[in-house]
Amino acid sequence: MKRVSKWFLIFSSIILIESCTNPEQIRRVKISGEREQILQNEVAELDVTIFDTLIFIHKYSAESFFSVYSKKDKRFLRDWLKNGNGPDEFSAPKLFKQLSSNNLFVYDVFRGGVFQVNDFFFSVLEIDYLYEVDPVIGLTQDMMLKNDSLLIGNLGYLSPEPFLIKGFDIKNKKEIFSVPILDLNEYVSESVTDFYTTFYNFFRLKPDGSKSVIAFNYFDRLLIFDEDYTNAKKVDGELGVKKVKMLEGKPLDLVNYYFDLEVTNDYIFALYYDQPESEYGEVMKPSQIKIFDWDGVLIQVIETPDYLMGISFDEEDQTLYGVDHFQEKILKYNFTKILEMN
Amino acid sequence: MIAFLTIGSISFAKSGQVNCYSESRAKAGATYYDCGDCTIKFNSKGFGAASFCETNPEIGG
Repeated sequence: MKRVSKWFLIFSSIILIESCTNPEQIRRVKISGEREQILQNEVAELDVTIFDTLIFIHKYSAESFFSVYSKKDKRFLRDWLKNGNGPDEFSAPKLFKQLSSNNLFVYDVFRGGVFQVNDFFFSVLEIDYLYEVDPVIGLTQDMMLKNDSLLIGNLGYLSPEPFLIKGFDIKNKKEIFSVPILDLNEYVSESVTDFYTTFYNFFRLKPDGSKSVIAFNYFDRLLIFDEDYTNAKKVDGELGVKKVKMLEGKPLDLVNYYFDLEVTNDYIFALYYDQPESEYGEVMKPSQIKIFDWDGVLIQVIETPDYLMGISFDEEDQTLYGVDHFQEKILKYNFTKILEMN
Repeated sequence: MIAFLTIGSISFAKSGQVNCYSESRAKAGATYYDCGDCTIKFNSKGFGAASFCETNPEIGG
């Protein structure tokens, strides 16, 4: 019989609070002079991460998974993390941070193991093997080490079960808690066979650790959780959440809504599409950045002229970086004036 | 993993088979099975008509 954890039962009764947004109060800003194209890669870019003095460009179908540039002068420094099955190679690496110390880590869903990244100053980016991981951690996608051992992540590539967030003690190799898919569990009874695709979402922890946010790709919904994941504020789009059609357990006629998240202690930056999946990569619809506070109030909608796949916010420079994969551009938007309006 | 074989409107699950696609578009974090070698691919989404393939666990399917 399948074990049902105490945490699962606790989180089954999570309280949902609905957020109402008056569209008249939302400030809409069109990006114009604050935009700069900073890089044009020879290999199509997927995403961008700003960390320390470096820009990590996540590459697509290349020999290495990242190109690393200097944030200061945009100088190319090195290719990093070779693609392959050898001892020093990776299959599907993700970067993630440690909340308490702001260290950077790498986790590979197939290879297993958590690696700490060192030597930023000379951009050597040596990786030190830290932990062997249980395959169950492969069930998470976006991750954060909250302290030395608590790894928190969302629904991942290999997930066979309907949960949103899991917490693992990676030192003692045990699951600490899991949060079920809130308010969307009607789909569970419709024989969904691929939870990861249907409920594909992005997860970020507030830097002070007090809250976290999930944004769904195929539902126009954000969920903002409190620190122990027992309360969630539901932030739905103006038209509410449209039901996804299912046929034989697979979703049909999907619409892309949220596409990436970045957070600071003040704001949630959400990359937003509102575009049918059938047009994805075919129709270069300008993307929006929706700016929320941590109470789920939509403060601003930033309209970019670009078709972004990933974003990263640099708090030091008040700058948002974006990757336009299909038009092979990496953009930098100065948000100083935009955020001064709030 | 369970896949469905469709004949008319009737579907049959066949063990070891998965839905796969021969066409894909890059999408960070997405996965799909490529019909070529029937292995799971990351950072891409399968598009167009789906067919079935037999996964090979030895090469990561």
